[in-house]
Amino acid sequence: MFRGIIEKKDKRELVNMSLIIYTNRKDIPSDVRYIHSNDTFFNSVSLKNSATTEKILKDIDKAQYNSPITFIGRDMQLGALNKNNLSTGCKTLLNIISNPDKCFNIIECGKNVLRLLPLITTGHILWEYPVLHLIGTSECDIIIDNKHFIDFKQFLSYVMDNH
Amino acid sequence: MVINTIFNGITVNVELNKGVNLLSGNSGTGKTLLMQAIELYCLNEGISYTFGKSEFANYAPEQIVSICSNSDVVLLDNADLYITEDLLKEIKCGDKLIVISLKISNKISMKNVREYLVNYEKMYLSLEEI
Repeated sequence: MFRGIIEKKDKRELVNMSLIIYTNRKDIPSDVRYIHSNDTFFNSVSLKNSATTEKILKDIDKAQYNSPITFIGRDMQLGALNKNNLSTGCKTLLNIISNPDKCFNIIECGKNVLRLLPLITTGHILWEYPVLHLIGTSECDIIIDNKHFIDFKQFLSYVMDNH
Repeated sequence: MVINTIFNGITVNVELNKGVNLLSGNSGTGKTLLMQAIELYCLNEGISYTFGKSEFANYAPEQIVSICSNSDVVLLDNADLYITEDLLKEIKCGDKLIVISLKISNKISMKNVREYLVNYEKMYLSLEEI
């Protein structure tokens, strides 16, 4: 077994910790609500003034936090913009972070969004086409196929070899 | 179709052709913004259009085909959620201009598809064919 991979046996631990990845919709537990449309669901999510939100906004949309319902985009002269103008990829990560009890489809996320998965250490995602050619080096807390990864590079190697 | 317009203060300068125009690339590049600009352009010019978003995932393929059937321009945003090769074939019957945003490009045949990256920087949005 690779260093950085931990077999998790305790189901309770799986539910409460780590980002859990499902590659097939039918594997999502029945008590975890599945969200197909991230754009629509994001109407219920407020922006948080946190370091993680700031990084997501900056890295994906070249934006910065302004208030729970607004952000400053890449063109500052446009002023504060409603959060619904964020990209779908940005909304998807913020949905996952704000609702770790729900499972979100990440099919609409570009590579620049998938690169930020290590930022999320709890929650559920459906990733039906797990292809990622980027080599990450950061720590992560991800479970896929009941295998727990704390090294993003090893996680990527596993995904490329097994999916 | 050449669109040279100002949309919400942003200069949009793009040229699209009849058939399938695929917008690909990373998240946050301006694909949805471009579709919104095209929608406004169609409204201003009296061009019939359909703007399909994630809600299309709740419709049966034949409903989507029916919704798009009388439009000269079809905008398919969030298309990873609902598009298939067969559905796209049905939608593009006739002489339509289709703009589709897709992350998983192997969901459709790339034959006769023009693929673009959106460049949006400093209040200026344009397309780069790849």
